[in-house]
Amino acid sequence: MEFLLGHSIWAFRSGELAFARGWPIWLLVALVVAGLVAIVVTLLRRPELRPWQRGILGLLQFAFLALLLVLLWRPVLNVERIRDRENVVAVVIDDSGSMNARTADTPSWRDQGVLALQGSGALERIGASSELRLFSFNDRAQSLESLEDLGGGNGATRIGDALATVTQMAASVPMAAVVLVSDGAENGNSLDEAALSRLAATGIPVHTIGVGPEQLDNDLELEQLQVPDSAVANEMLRAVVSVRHQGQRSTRVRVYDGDKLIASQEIPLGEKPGLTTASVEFPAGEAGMRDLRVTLDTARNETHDANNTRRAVLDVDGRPRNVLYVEGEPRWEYKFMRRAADDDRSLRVVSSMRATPNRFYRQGVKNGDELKDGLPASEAELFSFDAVILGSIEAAALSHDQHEWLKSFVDRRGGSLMLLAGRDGMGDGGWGRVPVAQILPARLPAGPQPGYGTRTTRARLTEYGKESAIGRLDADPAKNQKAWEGLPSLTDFQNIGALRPGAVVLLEAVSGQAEGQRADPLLVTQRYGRGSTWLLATATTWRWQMRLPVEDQRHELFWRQLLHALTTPAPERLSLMPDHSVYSDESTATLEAQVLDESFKPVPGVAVSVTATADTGGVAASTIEPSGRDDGRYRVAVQAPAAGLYRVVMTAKAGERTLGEAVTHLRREDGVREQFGAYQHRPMLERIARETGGRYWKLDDLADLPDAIRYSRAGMVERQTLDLWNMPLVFLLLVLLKGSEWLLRRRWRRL
Amino acid sequence: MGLRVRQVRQLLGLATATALCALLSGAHAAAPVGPPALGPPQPEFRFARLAYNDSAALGFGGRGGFGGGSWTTDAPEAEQHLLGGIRRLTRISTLDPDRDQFIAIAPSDDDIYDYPFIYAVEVGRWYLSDEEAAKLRDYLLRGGFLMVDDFHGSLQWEGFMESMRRVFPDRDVVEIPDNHEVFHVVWDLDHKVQIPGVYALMSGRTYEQDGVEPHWRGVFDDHGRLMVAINFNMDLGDAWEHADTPEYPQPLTALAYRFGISYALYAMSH
Repeated sequence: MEFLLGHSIWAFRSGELAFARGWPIWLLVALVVAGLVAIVVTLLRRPELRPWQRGILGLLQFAFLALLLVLLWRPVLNVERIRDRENVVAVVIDDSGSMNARTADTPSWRDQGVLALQGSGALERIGASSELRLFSFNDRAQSLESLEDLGGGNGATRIGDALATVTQMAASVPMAAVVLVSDGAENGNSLDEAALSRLAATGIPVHTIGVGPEQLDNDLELEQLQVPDSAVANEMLRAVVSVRHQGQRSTRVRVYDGDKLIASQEIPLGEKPGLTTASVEFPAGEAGMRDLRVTLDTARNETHDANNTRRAVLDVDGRPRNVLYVEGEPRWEYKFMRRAADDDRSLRVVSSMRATPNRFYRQGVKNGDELKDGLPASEAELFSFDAVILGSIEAAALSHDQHEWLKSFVDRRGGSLMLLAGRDGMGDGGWGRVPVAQILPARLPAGPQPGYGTRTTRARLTEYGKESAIGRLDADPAKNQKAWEGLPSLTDFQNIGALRPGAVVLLEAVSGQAEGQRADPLLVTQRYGRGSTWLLATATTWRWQMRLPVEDQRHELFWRQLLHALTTPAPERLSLMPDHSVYSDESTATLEAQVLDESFKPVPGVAVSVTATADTGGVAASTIEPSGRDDGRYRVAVQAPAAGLYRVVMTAKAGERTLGEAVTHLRREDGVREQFGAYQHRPMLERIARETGGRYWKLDDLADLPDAIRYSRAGMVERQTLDLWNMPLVFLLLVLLKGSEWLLRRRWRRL
Repeated sequence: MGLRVRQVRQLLGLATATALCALLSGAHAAAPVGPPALGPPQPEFRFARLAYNDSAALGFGGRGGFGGGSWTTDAPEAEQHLLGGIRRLTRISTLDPDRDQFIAIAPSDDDIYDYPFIYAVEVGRWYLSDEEAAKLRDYLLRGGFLMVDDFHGSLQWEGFMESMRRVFPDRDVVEIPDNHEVFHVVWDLDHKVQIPGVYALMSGRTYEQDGVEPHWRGVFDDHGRLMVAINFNMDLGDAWEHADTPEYPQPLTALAYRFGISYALYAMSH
């Protein structure tokens, strides 16, 4: 092709077409038109030819004339190309752990890339016209003297950082292009949209060479694992697993705490290769640290199973979560809710039931002074709870201060507030006209019409409810659906009014028959400030307990899960949380601490220190500076110099007085991250090339790479004007056009 | 031509009428269905009597059920007075004794699960079949509460236990200790005295047959919660019923009210 064109194909791809003669273009057009007219007139005077014969001859004559006229105007190609021997081309080779992968009798992916560069002659030809600079990278880039210095590294892949480092050279040397040899398995979070934009802004084209297969046969990969960082003792938790599969029908997920199996579940996978997400329930167990390991069973003929396991660290809090339930009248719902929570040692339900007009009957209190008058006597007493439930008690029963505390309880304390249906509950109890009304998920009706009464309804999960832990009466979604459908009916209902925009409906109360069926919000929640508010528009869930067999646990499960959902998110006064619980190939862990007083306000003048102790014995201590925003928050970076499990302790002191301490755990692991996503991520490589003006190359297609680089517009470039009139293709066309006409005339005997 | 015009007009009229009917019927079918009516709230505490059959073995002829029998003793005045006391002294929402009819429920009736508190009187004469005993056991284990009253002496105790053993073959009937929560929900019922039936009282005694000693006994569940409150050698029902009888001592009526209310509050909180 290049022989016919007389120039490199890359010159045509990057150059601009122009006419060098300087004559006006309109004249060219006019002459072409005039020639066309002359040809048409001439042919019309040849009646011995049939019309289609005249048409073909006319076309050939016109093409010949037009081409000739265009050549008279001297067409040229204006190109920019790098100046020989004056530019640098950087060759950047991925030396991360995943590039060590190989099949039985082939070189590693890294070696395949190097051999292709050398075998195609591309490296030699680039080096002939530019200065070559070699780099390797994993979690950081480094220069190489020669390709023999490639180390076979084991680190993470930070493509964005490597390219940023290499392109910084362009500030001191003219850089024409970057050649990146990689599988594209970026796992260092260094190549986000901003990084790509910065890279594109340098103007240096990045040519990407993809290595490794784009799909691994028979491979299962635990691509993602989501587990809470903390939990309450004996709580049931969910591990969300995302499994990448290649057509396997199912796999078994096993959850281990150390070496002890604590959960196992078969999950179905799609028949087509893809990603399937499922959840596995497991018990949080007793208070302490859970060193979790989640694994997929090895699939048939799977050769690479290092990507079947991920780890997580879970801190289980032994402190029971405190629920305050204030009920304005004796009700069966009160009794049966308490009974449902009885066996859950991670919950402490303190209740205060107004038994007589002047007397509250208290249950679950620590001592005779707690809730002495039935309701919290101070903000601090209220804030000692994680969630508050208000039953059928009129708003007027609370003082102005108590209403303000309730609002702060949600907003500042981060607690949950739930209102239950009842004669004196919600709107009927005047709760639509007090400060708390503003933070509820619905605008409670405040009119004179009673909103509470008798209505037979059935509880139904909404789509949000199906995703929520509250709605999970059975781990299997189909069985869960049936479990809800089989619940006895509720016999009361309270109109909660119009929902606020941020409200999420988890349960609906369905009433009426099939055609006239109506669904009203039954369980609604919304976030407010640091906490959340809830409305439950019934007080007859106790019928689920009385109307179902003794061994049926649906009523108990519902209430326990609801109480956990209310209490678990409530923050502690002193807390310490790592950004994530497992640090892969990272030596620095970032944690956030919080120190608040009993009113959950920042404590001034606090000294906070952190000590990280490895299970191997190493200790690292740091003192933390406050965020400067007076919000009681502190951020600290802790060194984790070696792989292992770390216990991190935060101590807060005000002067000589110790305010308390918080403990968390984290794990550092090395060489694991590169076991995941170990295939060629071609879309990522194509995107890098596209954004920067480069091109994606396959290993067997590298012969054109030097030419593509030669016509780069980066680095030291020179402009060239390439004549096109002398292209062999032009002469060939002229001969072909005239020759075809002569042959046709001869055939039609009309010479 | 005139005829044809008239025919066309008739056809058009017919078509219009048909379309209108269709529209109207369609509109009716698509009309939004309003929310089902919201009835007045049900009373929370609905005092229900257990309508059992009398025991034939004790010579009571097997009568009972809704045809009448020992279970109807003191009804409806006893519950009317007690419910009035509950309304006056507590925050419990109850049936209106002046308006609502008293409730009776057979031990075999599935609706028993809608009444988490039931009262059984003269249980020295009751008879529960195996099926009824199983249902009552199930009711109690799910969270129901049974108060039994007005039976006296060793013979009636045996009559009571004959069915009770079939309800709970593996649970003991035990004395409720004085410090048990059921006696301290609102009042501290430390001073307990025998509450007699009105006829025993008229004859100058506080006991019947050989039931000299009053006993507050109970059956507890696995969590230590009282499921069955057994008032043996006592007649709280008479004390409630005769609250307006001048000859019946007011302190005994007041104490009987307190026991009844304490059982109700305990049942609604444990």
